[in-house]
Amino acid sequence: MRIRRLMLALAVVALIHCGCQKTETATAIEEPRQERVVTQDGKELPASALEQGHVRVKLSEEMTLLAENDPAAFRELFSELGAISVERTFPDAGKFEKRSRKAGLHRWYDVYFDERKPLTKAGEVLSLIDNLGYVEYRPRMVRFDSQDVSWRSKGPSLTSSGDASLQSLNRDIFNDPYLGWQWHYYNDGTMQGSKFGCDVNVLPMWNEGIVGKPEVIVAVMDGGIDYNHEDIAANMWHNPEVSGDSVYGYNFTYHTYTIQPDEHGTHVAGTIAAVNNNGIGVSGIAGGNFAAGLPGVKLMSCQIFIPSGIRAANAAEAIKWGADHGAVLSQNSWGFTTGKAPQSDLDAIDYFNRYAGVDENGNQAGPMKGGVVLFAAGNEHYRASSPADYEGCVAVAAVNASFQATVYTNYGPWVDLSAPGGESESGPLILSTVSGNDYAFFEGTSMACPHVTGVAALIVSEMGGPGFTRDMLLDRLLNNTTDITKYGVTQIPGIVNAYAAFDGSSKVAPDPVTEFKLSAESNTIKFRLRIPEDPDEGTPYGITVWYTDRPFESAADVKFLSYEVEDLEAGDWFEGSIPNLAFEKEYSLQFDAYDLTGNHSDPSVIGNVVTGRNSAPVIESETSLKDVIVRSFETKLLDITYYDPDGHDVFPSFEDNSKGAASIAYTGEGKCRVKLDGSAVRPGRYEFKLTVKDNYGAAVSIVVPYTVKLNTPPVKLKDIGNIVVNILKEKPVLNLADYFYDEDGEKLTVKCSVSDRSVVTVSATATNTLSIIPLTIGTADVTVVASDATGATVTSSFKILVRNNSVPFDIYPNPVTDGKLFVRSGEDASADILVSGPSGAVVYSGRQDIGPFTPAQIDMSGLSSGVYDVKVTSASASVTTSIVNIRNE
Amino acid sequence: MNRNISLSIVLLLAAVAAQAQVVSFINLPDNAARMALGGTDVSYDVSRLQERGYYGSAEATYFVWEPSMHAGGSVGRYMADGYARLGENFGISARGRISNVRSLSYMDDSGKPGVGFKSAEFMAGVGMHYRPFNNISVLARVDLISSNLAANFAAKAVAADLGVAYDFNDLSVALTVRNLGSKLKYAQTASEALPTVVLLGGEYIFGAGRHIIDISADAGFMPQQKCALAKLGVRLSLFGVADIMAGYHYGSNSQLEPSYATAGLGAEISFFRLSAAYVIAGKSSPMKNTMAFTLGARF
Repeated sequence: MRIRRLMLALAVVALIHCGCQKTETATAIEEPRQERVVTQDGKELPASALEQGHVRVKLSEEMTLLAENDPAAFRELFSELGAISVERTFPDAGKFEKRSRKAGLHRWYDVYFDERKPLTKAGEVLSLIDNLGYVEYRPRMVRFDSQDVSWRSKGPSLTSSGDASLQSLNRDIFNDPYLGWQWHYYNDGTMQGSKFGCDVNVLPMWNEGIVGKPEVIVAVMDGGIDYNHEDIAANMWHNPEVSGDSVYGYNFTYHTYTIQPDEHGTHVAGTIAAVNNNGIGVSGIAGGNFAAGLPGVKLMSCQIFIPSGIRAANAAEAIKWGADHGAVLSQNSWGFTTGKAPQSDLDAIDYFNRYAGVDENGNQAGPMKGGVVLFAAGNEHYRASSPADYEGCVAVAAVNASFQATVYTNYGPWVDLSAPGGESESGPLILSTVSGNDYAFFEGTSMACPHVTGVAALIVSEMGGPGFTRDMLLDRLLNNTTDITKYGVTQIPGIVNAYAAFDGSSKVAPDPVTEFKLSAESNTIKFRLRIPEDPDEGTPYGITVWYTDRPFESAADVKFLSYEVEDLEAGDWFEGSIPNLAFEKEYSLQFDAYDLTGNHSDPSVIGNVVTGRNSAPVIESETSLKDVIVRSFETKLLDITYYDPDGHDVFPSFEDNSKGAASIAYTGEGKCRVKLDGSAVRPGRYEFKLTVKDNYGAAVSIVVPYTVKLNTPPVKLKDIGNIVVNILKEKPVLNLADYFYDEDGEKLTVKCSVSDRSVVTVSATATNTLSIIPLTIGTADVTVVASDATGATVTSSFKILVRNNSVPFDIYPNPVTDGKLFVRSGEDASADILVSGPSGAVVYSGRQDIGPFTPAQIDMSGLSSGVYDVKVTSASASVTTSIVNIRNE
Repeated sequence: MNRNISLSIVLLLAAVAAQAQVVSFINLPDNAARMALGGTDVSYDVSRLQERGYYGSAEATYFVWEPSMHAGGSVGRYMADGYARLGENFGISARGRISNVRSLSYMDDSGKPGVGFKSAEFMAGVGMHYRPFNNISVLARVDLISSNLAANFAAKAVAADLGVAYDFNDLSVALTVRNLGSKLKYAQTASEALPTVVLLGGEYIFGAGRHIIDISADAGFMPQQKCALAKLGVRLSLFGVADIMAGYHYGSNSQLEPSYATAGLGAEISFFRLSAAYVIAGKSSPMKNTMAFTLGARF
């Protein structure tokens, strides 16, 4: 609650601040326009190059707790700041939410402001929130065709305006009529402006029957794919979660399942997987073989641009969505307008790389464990491009048909591969599908990138399976390219070569696993095996374990898990485990070893092991949970931990019968904090119940009774007596514990009121003392009120006399105007007082007891006006002075 | 006036007045010699024209007032007096007095010090002396009084003195009324009458040679204060150049003028006269150790 109040207060300040700024803007003399800049990661960015009205925030842990435990307050906070909306960048991912949180993606939030408000103001407002987190300004997203590539033409047989210089190549492999113009797949050098071999060399793959498999899903992050295109429809992915026309992907620009067909997106998709050998249009690299009944890879349309390309969506969310829906390759022909790629997008790329092809339990579920994100390098002929230059991406540059870097392609050491992108100045372009059952030649790195994506899909289709990982794919793609340095091209790497990537590696499988040991803990089987040798590579790349709870030979659904041996070598012992099995059941297991190419050894002998029983979770607390007592003024925090001894996921639930006193906050994995607020309910006896279940239903509960005790008001032990303070050298400090006492032991709030603050300052300190600081000579009445958390109070009043103790007696007032003269001393004393009149007569003489707060009083009312002399003599001092008496009656 | 007759004065005593007297400094004797003679000055004041030995005089007096009541030293009172005979039967006099010029500490009602203030009181007057008959003298005098006690507390008044004296050989008897006049008003709601006093005094001189004894006595009554006072003084003049003086002042020890004894010395050299007075009072009396000094000249 303290955080919430603090943030709301800051929000009000921010609003006032904004209001002031607005007024200033309305009345200020116009100044020369100056480019607004925002600072991110220590670097200034021009605000005009950024998305207006939108920032992305990675919340701190503390703020994330607020967002998730009190979403209303969280939204109110941003609403007060002027935000139109605030929403998670990566929505709840259902069964994949756990790994999303592990990746930290749940902490990213998109905050939308009025686009007319300067972005710098939005940033300033957010910066006022204490401990908000990392604020990310968003560079604009552009699709690469929107800049340099404007030329296009229809396929030669479909339009009379086709380029007559283009010559059709003969291809016997497929009957697709326009395959002859797709030099970029296999270039025999007969086309004008082309050289033999400047292609992705996919024809040999097709000749070996490697045409793609539907298990491989490619997410196309682009404009929408024309899913009804006659040459694509058969290879469109179908989302099993929905039906009808909503199955082909997701439209992230409008947050709907309805895809809007787009030429660019459809062109990219056609290169990857236009349907082959269907007698229609063009071929795609991994488009299958329609006539042979072999479907190609599946195209998932993740629409992040509207057809005009001027509006972009949240690409980071789309990339992650692809991984969570089965894609293992992410095709991207877009980029940012400026600078380094935003961290949220990089986080999404990392997520795809790690979790694509993996199920919610971390096991390989697709043809490849982990994904690969491919990005076009961009068409500005720059040395940089984001996010393509991120090391987690495969960046693809464009070559023309004669092994030269195109005039437009971005370049640099960060580029990973090249591929044909076409170049209108020098030769043929890239022919593929466009929306409306049409075909067109395009050029650009947008066209080059899907060539690599298609080759990657082809290799995964052929080599993917248990144990196949993204690293294995990348090893093949990056290390088996067509060299172009001999053509004098050094600023971009070699051209992706499909057949070389497929053929250019080991054909010899590792030796089989011969030595292993099995054990079981709960429903997890642990194994230990000696790594066999790989005859040609020394050490296998990984181990595959096949397992089933039925007789091994007859089981149709034998499952598997693959493990990379990483730094271990042949002969070393490798340890692994198989989690989430059935309890108390006998399992049969076999092992094999595989190399980087995916060659698997012969299986080992079958081993058997019986899994154990399920144990209930455990709840523990370092704080005693017995006889918990909360006084009505206090808040008590109980830190509780819980875990499952079997290592299973656990799910806590919380109940409280006080209706307000107890609340729970989950502070981390296996940790929670129960807050008991004694002020929230009436005194009484209550209990809360914490139940923790594992994901197999075993549960444990603790019931914690607690008592909210009645408040005891504070009492006064004794009065604070009147105090004389010597202004010259005294600053008394009183210990309040000597005067006030609270049986509950709570810290009392002490407030002081002083009748004359010019005389003395009285204040309570944090150490429960009363500090008295004299300011000037005089008297003041002081009231000290001590109150407990419930507002019960106790009061003590006293007087403070501040005087100069070097003067024995205070004789006052002077002049005397109301007939009363007082004589006061710093301490109790008996003194002789003599008052003589102007003519020398003794008008008063007597002995009186006087003190700091009981001054002697002399009646001067009957005396004439004049100057009188006063002499006060005690045992220790004598003072004479003159006073004026004014007769007033 | 060489008479060996002693005059006994019956002193009438009354109840002590209920209040002290405002601007009391105007009732002090004119010089140290009269102070040394217990303050007796009625005959001296009124019957100046009867003394034929000089045509005028001027003198200045300084009082060391109540030194025991002022830790930082006494508070002075200053007086000046001048007299001139303008003919056989007519003379004039002038005088001025300054009193209570001092800085005082301000203290508010709670005893908190503040910015100090100053007090000062002044008197200036002129008198006319006339002798209508050989044995009778009269005096009329007007004084202007200003009393500034503190900031916002100041008052002014006009006072008149009237006196008549009868001289018969070495005896002089005088009756005077002093301080008839307006009231002083310091505050908005109160005004205070001047310390009017009716005095009857006499003086008799024994001997006519080189040494004489001068006895003076005054008795008075203050109507506003409703109190009486009496003064007695004796002066022994040796060789006409030195005076030894003693006196007693009887008053109200509580509210008016206290009782005390006086002693003094005087010297006359050519025109100049020097005299000193010393007040002898009880240990607790503020008046103790009060002194006065006068330097004057007769011509």
